[in-house]
Amino acid sequence: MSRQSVRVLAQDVFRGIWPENPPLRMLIGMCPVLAITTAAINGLIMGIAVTAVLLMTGLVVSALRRVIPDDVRLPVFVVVIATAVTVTDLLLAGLVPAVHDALGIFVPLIVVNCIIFARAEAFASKHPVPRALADGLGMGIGEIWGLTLVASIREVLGNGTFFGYPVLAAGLEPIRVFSMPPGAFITLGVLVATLNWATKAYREAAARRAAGRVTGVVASGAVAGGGGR
Amino acid sequence: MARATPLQASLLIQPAPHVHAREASLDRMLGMSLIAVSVPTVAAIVRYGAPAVGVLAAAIAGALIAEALCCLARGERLTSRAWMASLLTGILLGLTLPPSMPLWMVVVGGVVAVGLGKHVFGGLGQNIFNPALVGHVFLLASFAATVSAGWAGQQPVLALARQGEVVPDHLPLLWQGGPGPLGAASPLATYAAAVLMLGWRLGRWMAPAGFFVGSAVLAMALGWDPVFHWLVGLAPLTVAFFVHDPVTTPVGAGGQLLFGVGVGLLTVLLRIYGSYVEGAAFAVLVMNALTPLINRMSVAWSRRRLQALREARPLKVSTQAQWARDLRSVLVLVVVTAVSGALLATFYQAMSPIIASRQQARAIEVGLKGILPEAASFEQVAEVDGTPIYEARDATGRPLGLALFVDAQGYGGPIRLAVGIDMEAQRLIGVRVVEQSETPGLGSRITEEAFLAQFEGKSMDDPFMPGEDIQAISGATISTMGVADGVYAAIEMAREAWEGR
Amino acid sequence: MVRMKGGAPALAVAAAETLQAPSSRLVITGRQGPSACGPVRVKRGDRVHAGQVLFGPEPGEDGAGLVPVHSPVSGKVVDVQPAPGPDGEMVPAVTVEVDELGERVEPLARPWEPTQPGQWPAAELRRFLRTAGVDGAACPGQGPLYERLEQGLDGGVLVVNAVGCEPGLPSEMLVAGAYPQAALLGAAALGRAAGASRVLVAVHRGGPADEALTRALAEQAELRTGSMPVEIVRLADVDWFWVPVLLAREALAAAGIRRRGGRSGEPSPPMMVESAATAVAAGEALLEGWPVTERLVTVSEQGRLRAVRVPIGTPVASLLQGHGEQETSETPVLVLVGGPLQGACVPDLQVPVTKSVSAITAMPPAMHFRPEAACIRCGRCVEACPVGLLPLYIARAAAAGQMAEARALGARECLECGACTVLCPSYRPLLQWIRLAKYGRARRPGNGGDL
Repeated sequence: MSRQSVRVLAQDVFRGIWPENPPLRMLIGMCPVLAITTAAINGLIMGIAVTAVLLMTGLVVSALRRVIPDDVRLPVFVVVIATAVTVTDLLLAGLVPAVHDALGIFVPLIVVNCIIFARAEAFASKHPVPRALADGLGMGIGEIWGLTLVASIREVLGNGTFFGYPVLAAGLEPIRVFSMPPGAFITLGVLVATLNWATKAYREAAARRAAGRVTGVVASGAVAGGGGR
Repeated sequence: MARATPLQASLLIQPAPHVHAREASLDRMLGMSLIAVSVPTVAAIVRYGAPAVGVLAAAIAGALIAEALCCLARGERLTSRAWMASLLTGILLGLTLPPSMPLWMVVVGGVVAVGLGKHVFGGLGQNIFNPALVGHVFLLASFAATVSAGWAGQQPVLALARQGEVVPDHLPLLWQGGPGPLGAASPLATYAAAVLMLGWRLGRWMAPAGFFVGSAVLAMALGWDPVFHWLVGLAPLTVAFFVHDPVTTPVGAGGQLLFGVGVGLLTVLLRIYGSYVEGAAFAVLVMNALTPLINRMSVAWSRRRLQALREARPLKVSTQAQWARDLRSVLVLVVVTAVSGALLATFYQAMSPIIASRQQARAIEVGLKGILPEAASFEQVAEVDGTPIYEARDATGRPLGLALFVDAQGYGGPIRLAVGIDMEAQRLIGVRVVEQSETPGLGSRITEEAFLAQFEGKSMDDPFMPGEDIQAISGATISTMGVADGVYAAIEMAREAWEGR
Repeated sequence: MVRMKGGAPALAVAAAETLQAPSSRLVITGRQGPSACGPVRVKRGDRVHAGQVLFGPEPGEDGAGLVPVHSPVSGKVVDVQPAPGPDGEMVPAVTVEVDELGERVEPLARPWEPTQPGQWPAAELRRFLRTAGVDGAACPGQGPLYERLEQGLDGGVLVVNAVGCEPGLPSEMLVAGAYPQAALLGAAALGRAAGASRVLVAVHRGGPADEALTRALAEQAELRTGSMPVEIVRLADVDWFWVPVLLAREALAAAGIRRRGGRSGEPSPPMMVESAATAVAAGEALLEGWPVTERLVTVSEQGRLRAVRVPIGTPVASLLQGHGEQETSETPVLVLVGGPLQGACVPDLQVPVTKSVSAITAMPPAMHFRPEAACIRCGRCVEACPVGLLPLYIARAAAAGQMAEARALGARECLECGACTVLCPSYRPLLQWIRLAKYGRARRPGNGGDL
């Protein structure tokens, strides 16, 4: 593989991890984010399930993208996604039945999760297989860490545990609201706001730094660091 | 010069055509439909008397109330077309219901029929589904028992036939239908109305023809008598009114034939295999949903014909390229679906043992523990005919009794029971229903505490016969029989396991 | 489709009448039919003779494509201002005050035997007919006659419609029955001019035209067996609406001519339909050498039918006899050029008769119209449409402003017969919507042209 294409692939992966992170930046696929993130393990497993579905779907759709006629592409996508989800569902049922039961109906609901459909339609059907896989992987990783983050916050605050291990100091009570639906919204909202603020602050700082380099050190008084400028 | 002419009269200017066929008037059509529907109405009243009048009046009341309210909400006047159409809807709804319906339910049905079935779509001429049938199906889904039941405890003819009971001869059925909806009070009267509708050019010829063909083909293929299907339940009403409704059926003759065939096929199919007793209502509603598609086919056909006319070439059904494109799309879809299905099937085969064992463990937890809450463990001690028999032990290891899962045959499918038996005391500890697919509101009542409690403490030697020592659920004889048979079989298996121990 | 079963309507119409009280002032318009007529050739104050060209090509010019208009009377030109035509559109016009002098121009030259149109060269025959002012009459949607004749039939079939256009309005039947000899001769002439190999005259079986034409044909052997054979085709079960293609097909079928080759792949013979009035005009021009200056108009008043032969330019008022003292001046009435289904309303009773006015109908407006309701998709319009269109969908597209969709569904193929609108139970103005999609405006342009 050429250097160029590795770079492109890396960009495809990175895109889903941060700039277009599905639950925290694009705010799509909200259903699982709000509903199942009561325990960190749930978020992790759900994220892995979504990743698996994204990879499977991306592979098939991208491989068949020249074969599928335009007028039936949506039904074909749905069939492929449903198959991938069913396979994932069966695997979960067999391997981690407790989590599977906790996730319940939200695993089959991955079929209608925006993320899968959107990536299939917008990316996988228009790009070759390696790129589609990279994109799916990126989106999946983004989903994993996004979900796990939200779920961790909610589990710690709402249940006093982290991945099942108690973490609260003795005598502290967990805030039950965070395990309940309102807590999901509050957690998500605060998290997204925080991330937006952080992103904005970072960009502004970077812009200031770039401006500083161009205009020289006119504005700076005491210059930190050693000699020279 | 000419004499006094219309010279001095005022000349009207209007675009052609300047005449209109007098008989082509919606009001007239509705009026004549109302006359036609009065025939089965009168027959129903003659047969059932006051209850029939009540049901019809309630349906009409509900329909007209909804019509008035919706017209008010729209700011329109209540035109004669509007109230005649709603009157017709109300009467037809009434004719689909049994005479024993509580009147308040019927009024609700009438309101739903006109409000939900017609006005939310835009009013007269805009609805997709037949309003009377929308109301009927709403009532069926909400109050299944009351609608499916017949009159004075008798099962409708269709239900009897499905259960395999002997059905009376056809000829008497013609002028006095068996128990069932009001419209089947006298199929002869309803078919007379059909003749009137067709004779007065209010109906479509192709649709009833299609119905007869479709229903006959499927009925005979499945070993049923087609004439029977034409005479019972909602079939006469369907042929007389529901397939002729201009708004919800296709516009062209070919489309109407297709519509009728579809209704016929689905009616027979749903009657034999569906969970509701009468399939005709659903059949019509499904075909109503397909009507816009059928109309589009007519439009496409017309367009192709015009294209051929314009280019003055002989008409082929479809150009090669179009066929090829369509075929390709269909093939791709079929292949993708087939491959996915095959993949899933294999995967499922591989995973199902794992999942099954896990489910078994869970079922034991939930099902058997429900009967023997003090049990701490269930251990399989025997196997009879492939069914594992568990022994329940409490925390100290003391045996509490035998427990097992057993499958019995219900009305809508198999029923899975969990049965707990105390072999020492020779008594039943209890019964739970783990899985069932009986008729909602009727057979599904076997899951109720009140029904299952009667099994607790019964002696193992009891006959377990509904009517004798088992209180059956009214209207759900077969479901009750299923549970009783299941319990009996469980006892037999436990006995065998105990003796073999 | 609306069909009239059985035979022709029982009509007790003898010969054509002439006008009892002819008008003293004629307004001859420069738009007499679908063809262009040419610039005006006279000016105010001129004296004209009967048969003199009023609109036509420059003297000495051939004026291809122009169909000249001749004065029916001798008199004085009092005005050359534009005047409203029968449908109200302003057209160039010449108003002539009739005098008693009765002067006439020379008859037209007929170099070949007039009763043997087969002997004429086709181009010469076309030129003669055109110079005589024979124009295609009363056919909605058909282009100028001579364009169609020039295009030619290549040995195909010409069908002459002596059946009729509107239910209850047997104008074609009457004109053919009144002048059977001219009708047959004209039919042969048109066939020759078009290059047809056969001419079929379609009549209603047992109707007045049937008898008259059969007798006339029996007397004129050369028309039966000559180089341009004319046959009479009797149709028993006829669609009343003016449906050129369908009428032609029925006539061909009745004559035993295979229509479409179907599986064998033969194309159907080219065919053309003309009205009997055009044939009669052509026949009279040949027989008498006199240009077209008069025509037979079927007048239907209160259900009573008369056939009146009038000079072109006669105001419509002269044709109507009126109802006497019963009518008050406030009673609204419809006066139509044509019949109740396809006729155009006359805005004023002084509008003149032209070569394409085949009938005048005076009737009270239908009182049982109801307000328009939503389409109930009953499909009666689909059954009624003679072309096999789906009027409900075209109208729906047009009403939604989707004109391209409406045209794709066949708005241009619509013959504007009005059957769909007549039969719609919801009183929807289907035809107006279709016209809107067809022309961009809801009014059919007058006899003067086609968009």
